[in-house]
Amino acid sequence: MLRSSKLKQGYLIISLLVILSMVLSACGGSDATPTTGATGGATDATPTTATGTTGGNATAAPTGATSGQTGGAGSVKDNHPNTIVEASAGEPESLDPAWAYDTASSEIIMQVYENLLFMNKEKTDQFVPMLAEKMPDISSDGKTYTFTIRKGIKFHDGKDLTPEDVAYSFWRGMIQDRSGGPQWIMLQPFFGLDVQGFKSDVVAKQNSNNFAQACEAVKKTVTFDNGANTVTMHLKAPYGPMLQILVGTWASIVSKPWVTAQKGWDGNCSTAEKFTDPKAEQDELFKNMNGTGPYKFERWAPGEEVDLARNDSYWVKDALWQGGPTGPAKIERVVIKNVKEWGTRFAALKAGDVDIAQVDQQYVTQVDPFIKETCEYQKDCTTTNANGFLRVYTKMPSVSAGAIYFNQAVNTTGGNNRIGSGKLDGNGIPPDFFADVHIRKAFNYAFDWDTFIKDIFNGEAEQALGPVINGVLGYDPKQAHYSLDPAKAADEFKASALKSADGKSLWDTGFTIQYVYNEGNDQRKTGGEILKDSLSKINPKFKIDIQTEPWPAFLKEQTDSRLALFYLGWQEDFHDPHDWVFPYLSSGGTYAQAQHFPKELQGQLDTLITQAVQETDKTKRVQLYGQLQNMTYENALDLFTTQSQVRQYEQMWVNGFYYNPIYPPSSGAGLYFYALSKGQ
Amino acid sequence: MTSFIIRRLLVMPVTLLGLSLLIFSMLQLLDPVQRASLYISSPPKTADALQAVIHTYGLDKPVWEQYANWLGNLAKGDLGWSKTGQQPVLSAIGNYFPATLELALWSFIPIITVGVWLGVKAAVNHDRPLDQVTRIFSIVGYAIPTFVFGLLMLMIFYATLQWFPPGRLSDWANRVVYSPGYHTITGMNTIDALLNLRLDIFWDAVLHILMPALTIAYVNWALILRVVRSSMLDVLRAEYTTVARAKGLKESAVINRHARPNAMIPVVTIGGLFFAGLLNGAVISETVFNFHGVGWWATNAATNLDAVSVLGVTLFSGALLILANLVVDILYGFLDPRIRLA
Repeated sequence: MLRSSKLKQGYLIISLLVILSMVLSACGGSDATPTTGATGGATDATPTTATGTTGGNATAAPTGATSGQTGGAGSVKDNHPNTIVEASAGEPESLDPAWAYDTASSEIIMQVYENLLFMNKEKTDQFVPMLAEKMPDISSDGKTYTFTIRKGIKFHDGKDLTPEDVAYSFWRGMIQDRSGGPQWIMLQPFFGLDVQGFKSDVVAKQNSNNFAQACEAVKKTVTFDNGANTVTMHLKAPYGPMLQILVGTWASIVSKPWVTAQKGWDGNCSTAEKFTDPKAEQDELFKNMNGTGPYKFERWAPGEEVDLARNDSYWVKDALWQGGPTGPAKIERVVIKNVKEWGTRFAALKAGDVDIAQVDQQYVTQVDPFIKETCEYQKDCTTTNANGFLRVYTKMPSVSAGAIYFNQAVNTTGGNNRIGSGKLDGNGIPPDFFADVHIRKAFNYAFDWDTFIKDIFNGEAEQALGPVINGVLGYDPKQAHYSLDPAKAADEFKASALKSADGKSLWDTGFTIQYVYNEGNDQRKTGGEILKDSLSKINPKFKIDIQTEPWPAFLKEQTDSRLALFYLGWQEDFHDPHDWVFPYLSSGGTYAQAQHFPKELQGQLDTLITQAVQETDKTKRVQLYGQLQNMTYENALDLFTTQSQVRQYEQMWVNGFYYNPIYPPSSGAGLYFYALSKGQ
Repeated sequence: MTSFIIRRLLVMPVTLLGLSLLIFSMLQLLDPVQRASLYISSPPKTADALQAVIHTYGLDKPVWEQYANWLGNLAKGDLGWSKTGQQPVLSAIGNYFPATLELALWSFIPIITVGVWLGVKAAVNHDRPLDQVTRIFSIVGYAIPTFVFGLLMLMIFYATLQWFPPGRLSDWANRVVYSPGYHTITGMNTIDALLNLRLDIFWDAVLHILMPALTIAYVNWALILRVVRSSMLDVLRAEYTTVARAKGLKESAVINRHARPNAMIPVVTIGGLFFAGLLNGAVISETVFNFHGVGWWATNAATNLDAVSVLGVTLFSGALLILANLVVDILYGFLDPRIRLA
């Protein structure tokens, strides 16, 4: 009796404790965090719009649009005025600038490390000296670049930056050259455009597998003179994008003594081999950072966040660009959180715990009702909803584009159901189906760009006019391009010389072809549906079978050249037309190598690509890339779909954002936290 | 009993080895290119890149060689490098498991206590309004997807009321926890905070863990409640219960002393497996509440074909499950003396 009564009481106590703890927590939480709707005053003060833009191709810079520590309509309060918190869905792969090749890593690296040159704020084709004292002296033959290094700059560990550190950084990167990494970008101007990697080309082919000799060859490409305070780069041939590649994170400057102290390479060629092609975890700088930048590395909790702390003795006294920031950063700390689940990111944004958040295309409509201020690219900001609490920057052209690719000689080894029967009989296509230019043109005339952009991108994309995208040197908005024209598509199909075994034309026989995209990418799926619908209206015998594959399987089939018709995208490595025409058109390019263009045409394309990249005269380069764009159009080599536009969502109290498409994007547009501030 | 425990513990490594072989064989069904996609998330930028990655990570080596290498490293206590966890697998388990264990403890206690209490109440009040209410409560809890319920909680109690934030700690608390003066002992924030005498950190950790714990609890109360109710109803109809009543015992004594202890055996079975399940990670709650534990990591590893991590998590989960079964078997003996382990 007594026992049962005690048990009963025990249950009651436990239950009450559970309930009580929740109630207490709730009460406690309300004390610690701001209540909603309690800060209305500040919100009314900010129906202002941006005070215009700065020069050049400036984006809207809402300098007059600040609202202090509270957002719009008194709904959200900044819970951490001295810290900026960004929530994205990306996880860095490595913090070593020489190793990292993903945007999540690059975003962090950009805040901690610095380069010889930097971009002039939002201008992608203008550079300013950063660790270099001035812009480089370039020899008349375009093969020698001499940099004078700024004096008095210290790394975060207190050691002085020296010309040797600069040269060492480039050597270390090229010799490290991990598999699938970014160092091919630095190797090509020094060792030749056909170079794929340090081990495979510089060591094996150019130095007969003599590693030490190859290492010495690398050291000869970038030399230093501590006395004269200079670093000189010796290119194999003139290289048009040279300045562009020097602003990438792979060209960040590290401290030689510090790297050596981390058990990294000491600069001696006799020990270099063991530092080449490391796995991420074997790399001494995988989780360590020591740069000269405005923020110091504090902590990386894998899967959770990266914390950066302000460098209080940051060296910039004179702004790098007109009106740019000087001295230590305005914001003390930067926290970049990895929040994969959208609902959690959204909730954090609404609670004011996150200042900048990644909002994927499919969730835009959920966030839009909370937008107070909309800043359209290169236009002033406007207040769209006085009750909102967020600011959004829209229609900023990205540096990625998509295309539907035609494979002109499908690999049929061991059978290939991607081309059905493998014959022109209505149930498949022959492997060389797309070798017929009329068919490629017909597919281009059959694609409805307007519907694609309107339905899938909510109008926030533009038609890609060829491999060279808007914003990149050589882009011409008047470039000849294809538009939806079913009649012309029909004419092109009828003009095809393809015949079935019994002599029937393509038009009479029809075809069935598999269109493949990577699993989970609905944009690419819709692209296929639009094409399918359009082709079936042109001729009901033209059938497309839309298939999806997980990324690993898709990658394998694409590289094996087994896909006939597929959708993929490209994000640039450096902001130069070479990085666009090479993958799309070169015989060694990521896509072109598996598309089998006709030999004669491929030869012409390769020659032009080499000529264009080695040309240093900007006007001539523009002409050459124009030629390549035209050849792509005339031969309808691919079906270029869209260049997407990006959005950036931030709390109203975040100031100083500007759009530079080259900054590594993490939560939307790329961010240079040094330029940001919070509050009034 | 002792020989039973020793025998079960001795069989464990063999079972785990078999498990690892099974998982390893299944992973080998994937092509090297497919497995290389873990390291290349977009089209390779150079022609040689893909092959170079395959070679660097030894993905093209014969299966037996890969397995032998893995076993050799295992013998040295090295479970490999987790690409998705960005740390060695053992270290990842060490880092993520305390979060999972803490969440499991915070959710398991209310699941069992409230679940048993409600189940008993429902059975005792069979077909009365209280029974109907608990049944509706359990059906709703069982029917509502964890994901939806979690997001709902997040939107109400975090986005709107700002009471219970996601994650494990606030930014300010994280800074304290990672500062030199703070000692991380168990990795469980609530316990470590108490051991460090930091009530502010403890409170912050409690605020962060309550929502995911409550979410797990609510969607699982239904199961315990129904099992207890059903078991209690059986026991209440048993002859010895009738005898107890006939002897003139009070109803509360009949229920608490005779019925409830006998109705607990299925609860122990389910509870044991349930706890082991929780220790393997509450994937959805951990994801929705950004509470990075083993479940969150394992899912991430599986979706990215991170073979090394998948193997490590599988072995760890397998060991936990075996141990949980062992504990359940031992508990049977205590609960019901008629059950003897030999």
